[in-house]
Amino acid sequence: MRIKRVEIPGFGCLADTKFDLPEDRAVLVLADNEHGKSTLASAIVAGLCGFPKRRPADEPVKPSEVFRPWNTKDYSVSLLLDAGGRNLVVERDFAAGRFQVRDAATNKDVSADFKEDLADSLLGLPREDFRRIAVISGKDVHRFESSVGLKSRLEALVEGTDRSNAEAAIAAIGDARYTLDDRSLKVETAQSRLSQQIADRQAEISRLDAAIDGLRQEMQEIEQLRQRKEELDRRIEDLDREYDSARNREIKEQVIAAKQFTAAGAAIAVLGFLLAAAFAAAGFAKAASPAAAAAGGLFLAVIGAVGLALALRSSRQTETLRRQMDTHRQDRGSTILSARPSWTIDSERQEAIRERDFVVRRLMELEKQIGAVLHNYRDRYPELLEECDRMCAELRKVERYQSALEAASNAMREVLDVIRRRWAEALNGLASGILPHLNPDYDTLLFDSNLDFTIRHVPGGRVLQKNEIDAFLSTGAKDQVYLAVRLACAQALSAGEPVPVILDDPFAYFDDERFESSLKCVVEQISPKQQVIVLSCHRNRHERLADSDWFKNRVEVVRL
Amino acid sequence: MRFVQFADSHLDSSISGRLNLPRQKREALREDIRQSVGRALKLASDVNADLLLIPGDLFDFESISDKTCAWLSDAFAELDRTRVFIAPGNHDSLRPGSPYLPSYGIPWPENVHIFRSPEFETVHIPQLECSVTGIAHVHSGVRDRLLSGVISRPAAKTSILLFHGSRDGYRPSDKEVTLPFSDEELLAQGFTYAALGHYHSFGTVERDGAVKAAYSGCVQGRGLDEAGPKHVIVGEIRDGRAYIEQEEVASRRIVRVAADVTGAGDSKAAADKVRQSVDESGARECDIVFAELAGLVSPRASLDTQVIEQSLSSFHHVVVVTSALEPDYDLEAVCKDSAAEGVRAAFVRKLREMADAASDEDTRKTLRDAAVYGLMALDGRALEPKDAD
Repeated sequence: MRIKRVEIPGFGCLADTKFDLPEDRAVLVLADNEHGKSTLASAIVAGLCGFPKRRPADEPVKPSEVFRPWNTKDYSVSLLLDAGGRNLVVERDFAAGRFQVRDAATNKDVSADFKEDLADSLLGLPREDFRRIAVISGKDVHRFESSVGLKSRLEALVEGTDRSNAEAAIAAIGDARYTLDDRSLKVETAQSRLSQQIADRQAEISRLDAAIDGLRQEMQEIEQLRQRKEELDRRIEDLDREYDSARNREIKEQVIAAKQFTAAGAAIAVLGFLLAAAFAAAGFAKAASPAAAAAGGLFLAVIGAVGLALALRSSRQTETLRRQMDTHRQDRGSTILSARPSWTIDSERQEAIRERDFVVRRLMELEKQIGAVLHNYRDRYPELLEECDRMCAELRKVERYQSALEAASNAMREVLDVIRRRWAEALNGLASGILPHLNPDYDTLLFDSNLDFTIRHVPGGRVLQKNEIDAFLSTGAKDQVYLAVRLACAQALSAGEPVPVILDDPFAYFDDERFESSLKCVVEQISPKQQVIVLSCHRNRHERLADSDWFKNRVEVVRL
Repeated sequence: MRFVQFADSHLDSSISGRLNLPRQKREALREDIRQSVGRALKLASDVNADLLLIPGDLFDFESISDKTCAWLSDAFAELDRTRVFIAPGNHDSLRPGSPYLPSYGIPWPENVHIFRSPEFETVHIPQLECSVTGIAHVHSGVRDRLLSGVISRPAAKTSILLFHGSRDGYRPSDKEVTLPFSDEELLAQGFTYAALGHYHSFGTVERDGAVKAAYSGCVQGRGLDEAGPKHVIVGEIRDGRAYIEQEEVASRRIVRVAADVTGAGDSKAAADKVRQSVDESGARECDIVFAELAGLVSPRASLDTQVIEQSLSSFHHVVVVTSALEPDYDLEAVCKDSAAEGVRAAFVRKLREMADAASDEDTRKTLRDAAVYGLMALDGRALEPKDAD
């Protein structure tokens, strides 16, 4: 593809700019500094490729706004192209957002046959890749003041990276960190730590579950003990009533006996007193022995008194027994008739009470034991569940992050290897063909599949290895090696439709000798194969070459 | 015959998950659940329900308190003429220490029948000409297909089945399989109606247009997977057929909102877009709002979720997550075909091809994330993990 004519009604600081580009010559556009030289390069690219539809992620302003003219309403570019023998007129009105392609021969609108990005349609190079390959700026060429080595810059060129090259990106992915518990950890470390924390908690949960499930036997025992206690309570209640019945019966019997005893005592008392009285009366009447009579009478009186005492005692006893009987009747309610002696029943009752006490103690023991397990379970289990839940969510996040990082790293490594291998194959030969014309002291620029390269120092015959190149080569020589590779890239992609090359003051930092040899190389070696447009502000340098045959015959000078 | 059905209230359960509720609000949500259950019981009283059916997970075994048990016991007792039937589920199973067990000592009132056998057993209610058949989970993880055989029971005009089980083909991915059954197995049993528990969303099993079984769903949402209104079932059985309606008893909903914040340059702009989406969702101030930001934002834009949450502070609780946000990379433009394809284009293209070939959405999402992380690394930006769903 060749650009045959450029017309710029308005673009940035350019207005009413137009010029033709002859087919058989390189074009040198001379313009003073700040007079639109770089803007012209941008205008050609914009005319060919248009502007991106969306603002790039890190750009504050849309690119189309950067070049909107301040002093004119016209904001448009028109190009006449020769693409594969067909002349096309490309008109872009950036203000109106209009794009049109016409067949120059028929004037027919053929816009529908092309994408808006014509570099993509005609050269297979979308806008950003066209800029990267076809536009070579002097600032790009001369960057060896910085610490960035030659290889890094070549990598950035072929990889299309600027802020961070792919190797650095792969390393950054590998070093990605994850913040866990306020600590910054490697992702794998965070993953394994979380997994361990979850496993610990799940183990504790299992232990708590096992402790609860292990209580089945105790729970069954509690069930049985409670039933037994109820049985014993009923049994003891029955025995109490039976006991009362037996005691009442026994007391009744005792009362009867006591009554009988009372009656006997009273009878003895009465008899004793009567006999005593009779004896006394008889003794005193006969006056045979008054002392004996008195003693006899006294003796009988004593017997009577004893009888009386016994009767009184039995009477009191009877009263006590009666009260006891009444008490039993009030406490127990209905009774159970029983013929068994109360002591037998009481013995049984005491045994039942002892067994019940044992059951109650055992119940309390078990309830305390189970209660402790349950309390521990309910104290800890919900907290463990919540912690596990939270940690599992965190682990999912870490695992997804890790998987995505691995996928990114692997994919990037894979594509990087492919790209480097592809470019190494393409550049080997091409770059070596260009370099000696730029700088005869060096040739045989060879790349391996990692884009490491060697270069031969012709005068010394020495092949410089990758770790020597940055130290050995001068700044100017590095500029030339870089330019050779840039030009070789454009050539590599020109196997089909040739890629025009726009050089924006590429030799600005070259000394005079290198400047002339480099321009001559571009004009004589590159220009015959693909269109070369050189933009420069160094009028004097170029005017000094005006008399050189190669310059006169091969370069068209355009003054802006 | 009238009945009210609810299940899966999970009283006193622990609350966790992505709602990130602080302690006080977790306790408030537990209180919400208690009140929802209370309203369900009141509803049973108001409609003079003959039966209150609770097919499982009434509470969480590991955290149920004696206070809640006492409250339940009293509340059931107040229902008086309504017979309450409970079929313990996997979370309130009859494990040692279960409040359902007599040995625990909770005095369940006489109108409450708790099924305590791991086999189906039937209670006959002659006054209602009805039988209720139920089964208890005595531990979690019951995987036997207990409905594959015939459940024998005495004949009754109306027969109700009550159990906590996993319906084949409808199980949410994170749900434990417990007492699994198919629709065919259930319908083959020939019950008039089956009250089901375990799944927290409403669902019915129907035959010939008649409802034969239903999950009421949970009474109150506790997590992100229980968003939206939650209901109890109020039902009537007439002429051998069940007619059911849903009644919302929860006072607070969990509302999930997707808010597209594409183009928002800062937190305030994003907050405005989120507010609009929340207003459109119908969320009430008493609700819990989970706002998921989505769309494309510039990598330079720094969105502070706390600023956005603060702008929505009138709601009971707000969570804002950014898991669905993507940096504003024009991936279409990045991976155009090119003769000089650089690493960015080749990388994105490769991951897109892998995503297209992936068989599951999880893998596709991981690969989309990988593309973003790779581009961020190529741009020299610090890598931050995205939230996991």
